[in-house]
Amino acid sequence: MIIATIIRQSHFFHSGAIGIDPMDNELVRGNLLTAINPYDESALNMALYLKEHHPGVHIIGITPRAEQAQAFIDQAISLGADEGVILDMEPTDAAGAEQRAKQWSLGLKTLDFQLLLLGVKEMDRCEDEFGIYLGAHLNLPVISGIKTLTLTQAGEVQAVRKLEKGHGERVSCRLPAVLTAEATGRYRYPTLKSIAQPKNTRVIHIPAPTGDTQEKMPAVALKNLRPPKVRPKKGLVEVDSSLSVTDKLSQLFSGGVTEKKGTGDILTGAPDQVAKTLVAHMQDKGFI
Amino acid sequence: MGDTKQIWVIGGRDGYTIGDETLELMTEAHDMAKKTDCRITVVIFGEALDETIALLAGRRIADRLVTFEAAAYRHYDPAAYMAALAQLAQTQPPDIVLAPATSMGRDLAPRLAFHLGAQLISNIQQIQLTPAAKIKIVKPVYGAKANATGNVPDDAPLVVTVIHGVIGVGRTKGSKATQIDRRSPPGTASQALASGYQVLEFIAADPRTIDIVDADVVVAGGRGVGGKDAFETVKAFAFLIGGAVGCSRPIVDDGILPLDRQIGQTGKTVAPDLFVSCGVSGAMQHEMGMKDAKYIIAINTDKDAPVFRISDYKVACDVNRLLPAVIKEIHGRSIEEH
Repeated sequence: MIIATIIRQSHFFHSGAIGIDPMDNELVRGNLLTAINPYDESALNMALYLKEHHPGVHIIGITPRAEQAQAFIDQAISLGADEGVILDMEPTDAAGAEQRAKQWSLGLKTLDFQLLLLGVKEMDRCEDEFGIYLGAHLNLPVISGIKTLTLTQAGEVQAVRKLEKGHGERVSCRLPAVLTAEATGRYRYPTLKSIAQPKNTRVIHIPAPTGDTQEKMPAVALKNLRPPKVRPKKGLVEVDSSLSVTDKLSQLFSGGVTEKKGTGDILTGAPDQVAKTLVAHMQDKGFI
Repeated sequence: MGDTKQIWVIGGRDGYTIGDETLELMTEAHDMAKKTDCRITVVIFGEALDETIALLAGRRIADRLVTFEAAAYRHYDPAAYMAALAQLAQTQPPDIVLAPATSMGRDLAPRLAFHLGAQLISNIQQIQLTPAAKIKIVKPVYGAKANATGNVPDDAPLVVTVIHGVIGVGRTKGSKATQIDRRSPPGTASQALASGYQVLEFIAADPRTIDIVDADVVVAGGRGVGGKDAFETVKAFAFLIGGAVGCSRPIVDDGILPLDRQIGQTGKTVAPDLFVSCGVSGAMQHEMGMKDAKYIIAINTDKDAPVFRISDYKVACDVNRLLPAVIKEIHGRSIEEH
């Protein structure tokens, strides 16, 4: 079974803070670090998990032509991918997700795979639609936002989709399919031995046909970058002027924690009696 | 596109119920309708929607409320949802679609955009419609470390997913008489729209493993609980009331719970419906992480503990003696009820 995993780049910032040029509100590129998109790393991790549990799984790491492409492929191979592919296609940074997916699909159609795994989100653009569009252009089913993945004996995949508030749903799908992975927060680190592995592993360059990728709709140009607004903390801006200096300082340093007034007396007594009262209260409030 | 903008609001889902995100999107659509001539259609899916219909229609914001009500819509199924939306778009296609940036909206929006040949912008924070009917959006980029602005060309329909919690529900009310349009499920979607996957089961959140940030009920233990063995009672109590277990920093320092369970300035910030504080004195650093809980019950032996200042219900008692009694009492009541 061949699993293709997509590896895209994302940018991080030295010191963790973004640099924005105040003159033109553009990104200060000198402050940038490039790394594998963490969601794609999570997808690669899921592929490696399947490889460990199912003999015969072969993993191909695919990345677009970019400055760091070889480094990303080397990293994927050192983590356990069997093969690397660099898709030689024109830079698509200015295109919308649908157009980019279309161009990617032209390259991917030249490859043989049963399962295409990628991260659900692209960090730089904060977009999560690329995988769905890719499935549409490849005419393959898509399961988005999975957090676990298993292969069944019937040749299907079973995955758990992440829902809100910790819920999930188990879904199954026939292969071939496209699956997009949530960030699991579990990452692997290459060993010294595996870091030397890329030298012995095949990396091929595949020219992606340009096809009819002429833009029907130009992507919305996102500009005028600004740091997100800092939410004001309650209390810091609303100090009660009638308080004494000590109380004002206390209110300032409390970070907005305010006393709840008129909320009743403190319940005391023997544990058994207090338990009865407490449980009755929780029942009245509808908590149990 | 005609002069009147057709705005669709796709109702969100929160587990099985339609959540606040639908009301947020309606508020946004209402604001847009103030600037230019808009007709708002709210589309919701699910089972037994009478209460939801009453709630949404009561806001008097939508011109039309379209409901797809059937067992097939109990879970989000892209094929079923897309078939319904494709049918709806046949009669009156939308100019702007607002969908929630939830697990459902993130999956459905690109499928709908692909079907409509629409531009999609995901995870936006703000959408503005100028009086000249030009659309401007604000969305986070670079891992939400910056916000960017974009002007959307108005020569194609637009689908956006909106991040929940940015706009706020508010108390916005309109003056429209909402027309209710109840529809039955149409046939299956075309192959291109079908998801190709099958939902096997819904997995409810397990309070023992759920992230404390997502939990509706959180039970937090502090140094007053004692050691690792004593903490098992806190866990048992939390499990009994369907709560997630959190803690203050000393518990993490002692290795009783991992760092992802820590609440406070150096841990996580929670805002559950119920927060039960057990043996936590209430240092400011801890309070910063739980002060937004809707209802706080504090249990502590020290009547002067700072946590009592911000609690709704205060119990001065030894938590190690009280919790076993509470567990026993809850078990007793549940047996009586049966």
